[in-house]
Amino acid sequence: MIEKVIERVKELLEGGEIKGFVGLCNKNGHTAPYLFTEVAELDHLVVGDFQNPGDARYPLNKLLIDLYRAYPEEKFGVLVRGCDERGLNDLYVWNQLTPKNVVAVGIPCPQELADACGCPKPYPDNSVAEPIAEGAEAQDLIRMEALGVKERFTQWMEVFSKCIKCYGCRDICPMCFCKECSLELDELIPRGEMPPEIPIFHLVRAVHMAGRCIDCGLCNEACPVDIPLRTLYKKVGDIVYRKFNYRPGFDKGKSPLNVLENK
Amino acid sequence: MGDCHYLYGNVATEKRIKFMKQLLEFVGIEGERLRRKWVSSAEAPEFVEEITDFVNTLKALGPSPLKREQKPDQPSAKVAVA
Repeated sequence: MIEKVIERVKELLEGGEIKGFVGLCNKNGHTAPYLFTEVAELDHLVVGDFQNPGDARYPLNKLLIDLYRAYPEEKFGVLVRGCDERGLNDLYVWNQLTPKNVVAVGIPCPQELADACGCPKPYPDNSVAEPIAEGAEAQDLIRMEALGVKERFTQWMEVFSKCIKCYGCRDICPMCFCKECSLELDELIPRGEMPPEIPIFHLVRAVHMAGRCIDCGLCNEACPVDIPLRTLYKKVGDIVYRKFNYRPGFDKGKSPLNVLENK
Repeated sequence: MGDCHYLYGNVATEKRIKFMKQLLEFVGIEGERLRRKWVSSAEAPEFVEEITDFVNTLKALGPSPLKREQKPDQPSAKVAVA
């Protein structure tokens, strides 16, 4: 699959269609996000998986937003998985990127990763290869919903209380593009107070994910104290889908929670 | 609906409350603790009736589970849940 990605990126760079390609680079044994601008550099391009699925996933779309803000006229390529492509679609809806400035080079995820993620669509439409996995059910959500209200409360409060307020979930989130963040408003989240007030800190973020979260799960991976944030935001997505029939990244059009018409 | 002093205020509220009730349930806080009712400033009796009913509901539910999470030195939990 990697050859196909390199081939496609080479084509795009040589043809001058894109100014650079936001992908993953492996150098000195480390994988990190990288902006490829020369064909010669592509020897170091990787797609992230070595032994296990999802060894290295990064919010590449987030870097793309920064590039777009700095170079609004230029066109860049980006490596996407199914979730990243949902992210691109949603970022277009939110006017953080425009399709004419982006060329997505997609890769499908293996079943093992799709299952671990409970991913609804582990492959992008715009892909260098055919899908190799099917959408999986969100087992974590099903488990949590099976519990009683009191038990859920105890479990959530227990995990929320571990929060060290590192803002890792927000900082890694490809859909967190606001210039001002409610989680830094003193009136809501007093500065210097540790741990943050629970559950309000996490619920503020959860509410802001409504109609926006594309379920990539990077927050979950970034959390140093293993708060199952993905489960929480999966529920958020589930409510928005059931109540308003809207799925960010799948459906065109704005989030029903942001549309001020009577629909 | 749509007849709001704040233009679309009630439309936005209706959506948010629908959403929030379910989210609260999911994190273990009874959805009945959040209630939305449209009452105009000229409808004092309706307001009183609604609040009385809400208070009765809350009394039946018992203290909020969040109360037990509160530290003793904090006078009140700053949450928008009754």
